Amino acid sequence: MVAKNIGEPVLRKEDARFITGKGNYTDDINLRGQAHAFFVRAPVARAMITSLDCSAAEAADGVVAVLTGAQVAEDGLGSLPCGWMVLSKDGSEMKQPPHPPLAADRINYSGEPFAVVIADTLQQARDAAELVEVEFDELDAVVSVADAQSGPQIHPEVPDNTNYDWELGERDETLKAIENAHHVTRLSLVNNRLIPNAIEPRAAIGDYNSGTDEITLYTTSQNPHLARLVLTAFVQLAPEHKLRIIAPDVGGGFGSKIFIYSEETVVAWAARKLDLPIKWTADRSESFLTDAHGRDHVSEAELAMDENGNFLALRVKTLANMGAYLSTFASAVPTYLYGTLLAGQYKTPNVYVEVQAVMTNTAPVDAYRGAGRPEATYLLERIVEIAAQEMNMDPAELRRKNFIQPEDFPYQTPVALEYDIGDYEASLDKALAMADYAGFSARREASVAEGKLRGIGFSCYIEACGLAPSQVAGSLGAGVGLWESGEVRVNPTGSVTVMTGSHSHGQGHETTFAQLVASQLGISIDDVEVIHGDTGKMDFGMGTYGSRSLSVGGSALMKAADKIVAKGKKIAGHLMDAKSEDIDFDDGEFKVRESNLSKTFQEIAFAAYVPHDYPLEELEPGLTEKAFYDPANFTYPAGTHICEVEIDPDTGVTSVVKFTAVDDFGTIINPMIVEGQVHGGIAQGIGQAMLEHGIYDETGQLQTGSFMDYCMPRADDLPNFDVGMTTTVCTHNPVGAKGCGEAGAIGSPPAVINAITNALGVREIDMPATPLNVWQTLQNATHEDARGE
Amino acid sequence: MYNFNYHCPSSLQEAESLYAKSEDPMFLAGGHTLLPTMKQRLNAPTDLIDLAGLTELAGCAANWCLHPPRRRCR
Repeated sequence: MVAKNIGEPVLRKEDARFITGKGNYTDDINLRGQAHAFFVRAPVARAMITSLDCSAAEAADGVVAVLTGAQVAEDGLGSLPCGWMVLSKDGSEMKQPPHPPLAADRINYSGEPFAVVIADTLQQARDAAELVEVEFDELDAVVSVADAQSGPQIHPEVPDNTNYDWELGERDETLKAIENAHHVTRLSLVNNRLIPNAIEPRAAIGDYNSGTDEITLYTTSQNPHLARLVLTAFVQLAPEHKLRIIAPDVGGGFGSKIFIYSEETVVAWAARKLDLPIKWTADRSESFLTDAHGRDHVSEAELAMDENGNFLALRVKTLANMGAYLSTFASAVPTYLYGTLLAGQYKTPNVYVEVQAVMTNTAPVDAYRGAGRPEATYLLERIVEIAAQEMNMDPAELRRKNFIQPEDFPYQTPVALEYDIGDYEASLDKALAMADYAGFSARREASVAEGKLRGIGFSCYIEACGLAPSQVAGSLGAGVGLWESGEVRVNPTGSVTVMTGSHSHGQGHETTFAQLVASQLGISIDDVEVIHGDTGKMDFGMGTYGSRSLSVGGSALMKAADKIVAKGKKIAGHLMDAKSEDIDFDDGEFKVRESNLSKTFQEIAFAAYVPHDYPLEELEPGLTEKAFYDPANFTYPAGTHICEVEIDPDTGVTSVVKFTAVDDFGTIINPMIVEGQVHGGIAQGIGQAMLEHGIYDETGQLQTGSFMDYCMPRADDLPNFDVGMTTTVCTHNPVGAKGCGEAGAIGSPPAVINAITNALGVREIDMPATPLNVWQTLQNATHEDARGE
Repeated sequence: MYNFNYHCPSSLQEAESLYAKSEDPMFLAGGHTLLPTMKQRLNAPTDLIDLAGLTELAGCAANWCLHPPRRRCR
């Protein structure tokens, strides 16, 4: 297989431009004569619009036009669709309300846009927006997940505000096992709502060419081709060949830039309507209000065990908040990316999960780093930790006892997935050693001596990544295929341009993919340029999410590079008068076996484009190959995270003093980039566990709409992370990779909370474990103890 | 943020007279609350008078103490 370059911590090629301010983000692009859009947003969460008068705004300085939901409807622009059909227990299709790009008569969440002002400058657009006269008939809002099904109905299409009532697994067997078990651990828990906060807010520039009738949309997308497909096939913005989407440098996404939003759609539509380039860049307040939020589950779970702690059955009931509309992939997150992961790393024979998706008058909720898998891992690893307490067993040993063993693979879980490979004990053992578990009691004593509490917590996570085998996804309701495309263009001088349908918004594809292709072709990574993010340049692609870029996109590139080598052998055979099957390609040279004849990769490339001595009757000139790769299965990254915290009982201030992560990502191309991904993921996970919480008040106003109210993790909230790897190579993709982008955010939250409950000596604490929350939990526990005595 | 006039007086007297002359003035000290609320258009002073240049307000001094000082007050 591939050698050299693979596994090297090569510095990132893209960083030179990022750290010198030479990146090209959407807001850096300015088109001649462009106007600016400012969206007029609802200040209330649920209301009927009773009157809307834009005449004063239209007459204001610099205003080109004020467009409303009525005009969107008149122009026949369709609803923003949800792309994954989920069926209820009774076989009925999920209830999906229409989602107009601009609200026409009813408002369903605070911040929802209902008009847009287009003006020469942003300041003028903003000033004019204040002149839009609107009257609302305000209605009672439905805000919390718990109240959603009994509250006033938000959409006529969605009775009981319930999109679907879904199930997975064997119900009767599971219930029977729970009924007959030696011990059942029960847990209710909340997975807190998160707001994504990519460093670059969403932005878009619509540009219309009336000469060619083409729209170009520059936008912050993780998947420009998918955006084009949705905007053309569903929203009917333009024919697919008349819409080009360019997602240039994009500053973070974490899922929030997968989705097709109102603003980008409206900007492209208005650009054509007004025949004018139009720019919009979200300010941070708009990001808080309208980027799709993450998580927001309320669950109940039961874990049944025999007298030795063997897991017999797991039952889970979850209410998942969808917000006011079904966002692009929202329906799949709490079902096929959640329920399917509830077996975890364990041989639990029976698992049964029910999920009801409910609507509220809040921003739409969709995939956010991990998407469903953090929710599954948090639930499972919390209940396993509590089970260990209740069974009076060591939490690491209870997990070990129930692990799926290496000889069990491929392992069919009771919840649809078939794990191909893994070694969970190897990760656990390595993490226990790195975390010095044996030394924990001494460290705890030292903390106690200083008046502090110390706790340790575990999390053994698994995720399903490399989305996804198209036929499996299709049979489960996906509206699209989930393969990836790649193209390797060898230039006449032997340098290489690589096109990928994946999209980098911080992941470092320009380096990782260059290493992969350079290794395959035996050339320097400096001779490989990776291009992505433009529907006008590359074949259709599916974009980046679900830790899929290397395992799916990289596999497509490997297939394309293999085709290059195969064609190169034919050319080399001709040039050296040998059969192509007698040519070996190694380290950039085509060699005739058992001879000293050879040609370099560069010589072969030149011969392909200057075919003076070339088998033209058998072979086309040129050296460019494409490949599409559709994965045979999901990939299953897994590992163990161990968190150690120290708590000041007087203030509740909690410090993460040690964090160990041992992950199995299969083949690793660039360990430095992988480590960076793990670090970022853990930081986000610690953010969820200790700091972040998206909160609405009872009227549907977002209380955490700024960085003053929504606490993001800072460097001083985090320790140095100890990151280690174990490796079992993915069995079904040519790279052998499993994906690393989400693991940190999936594995870490339960490790943190388990460490905190361990330190406090309590059973439960909800995320985020802020100092107030920790202090209050400790006070309650102390008072309960006092009452108990 | 709406447009506003920015002043950076160099004496207390100048600051006071700017304040008296302006239609709807506000003093800018740290700005941790004022600037974000101005950006949100929740606060809209016509004139912002920056106190950073006032040498008379520089430093921190106390010439009396409630409790016996551990260190000498300056």
